[in-house]
Amino acid sequence: MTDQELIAPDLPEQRDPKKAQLKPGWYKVADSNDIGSMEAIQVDDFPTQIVVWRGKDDQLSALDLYCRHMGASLACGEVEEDGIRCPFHAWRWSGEGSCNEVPYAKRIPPKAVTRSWEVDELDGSIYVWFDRDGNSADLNGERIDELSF
Amino acid sequence: MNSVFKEDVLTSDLPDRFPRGWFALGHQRDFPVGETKNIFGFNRKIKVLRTNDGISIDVGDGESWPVLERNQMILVWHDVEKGDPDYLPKKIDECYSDEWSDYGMASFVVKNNCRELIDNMADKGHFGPVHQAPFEGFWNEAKDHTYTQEMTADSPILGRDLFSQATYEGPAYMTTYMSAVHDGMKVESRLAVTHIPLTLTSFQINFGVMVKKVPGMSAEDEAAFIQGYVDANNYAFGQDVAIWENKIYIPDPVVCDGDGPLRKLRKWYGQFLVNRADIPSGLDLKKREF
Repeated sequence: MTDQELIAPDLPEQRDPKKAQLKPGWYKVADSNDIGSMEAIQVDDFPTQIVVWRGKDDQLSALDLYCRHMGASLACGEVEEDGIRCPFHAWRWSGEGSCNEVPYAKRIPPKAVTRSWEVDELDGSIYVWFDRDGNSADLNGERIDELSF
Repeated sequence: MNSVFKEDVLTSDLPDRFPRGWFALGHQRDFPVGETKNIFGFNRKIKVLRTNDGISIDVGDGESWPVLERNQMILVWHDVEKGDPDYLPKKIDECYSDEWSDYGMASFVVKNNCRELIDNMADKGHFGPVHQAPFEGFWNEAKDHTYTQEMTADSPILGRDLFSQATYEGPAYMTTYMSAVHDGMKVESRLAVTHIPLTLTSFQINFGVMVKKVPGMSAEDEAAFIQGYVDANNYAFGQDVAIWENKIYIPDPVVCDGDGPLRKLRKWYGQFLVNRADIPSGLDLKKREF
């Protein structure tokens, strides 16, 4: 690493997925065995950074990587039931993108919502649906195994 | 795709400058007479020369910044407007008392903008998940250039029956009075948590720990005791750094009851990032519990 990289690093960001000029489809983000039971991984090779985890009953879920509360990486958090708990303030997010527990708050703010992504597992691969126009996933949609940014 | 946000971009602009205020360059013992030390900070080289007549700072381009030796630290005044200092950090009697040790110092670099550190003052909700130190009471107060946090907690790391009062004087110089019970014995300590920005995306924390001397304790035991406190603080900062280096900055966070006055704190901090003429009014916060 150069001195410049050490002291002037680029900071993390949550990229705007709409800027990705990609056709709609299922994009491969990992091999099935990359995510163990109750484990989460960070995926950068996608139109935006996401966290993908395997919760209760091996259910796969994906959300924008950075917590909408104070910005921590959810991939550094703990998988709990079918949700993921942020390491910073322990807010728990469901796979649908809503916060369903704040340990220290009486009331969860209605705006505590993040972006969720549809996940599918097929033949040993994990895919996440992407469509710039926001159309919902089509299980017969194209599978795209190689993605390079 | 669930598009609940009008703006999909969650990158937030970095500040356009380094804050205005006093910044500690280090402990005075590390700047011996007759020696010039080179320090990197504020994206430039800073030469610090101590002579018998005092300390001078050369930041290049023929510029010299005000310098102050106080509470065992060497501090410089950084101000893009190049004005005179608006305040001086208060003298802390313990820094000049034989009943207290000197500061044991440690430092480390964090890869993010230095504003991340400041959030901790109001961020009541992170103490449990990040430091395993759920607090009992939590108070904040802002007055002019100062911001104070008081806390009572029961911490496996920093001690039982913990009371701490931490005050920022300006954006980068925080001192803390702390008392806790260790092995049934009350221990009083003082912390100085200071930092200098290296660039807009990294900063160096220089922190110091001093303890009230325990009568009859040998110098050796005392040094080991202080080192224990330095290590404990290093450990606690390590927990913060793991978060700080893997996060984005949410400029306008959705907060909930129990979050502490984060927005208020950020407004208070914002005064050091604008010219004096642009400082808004109403930044004070009357002391209250959160």
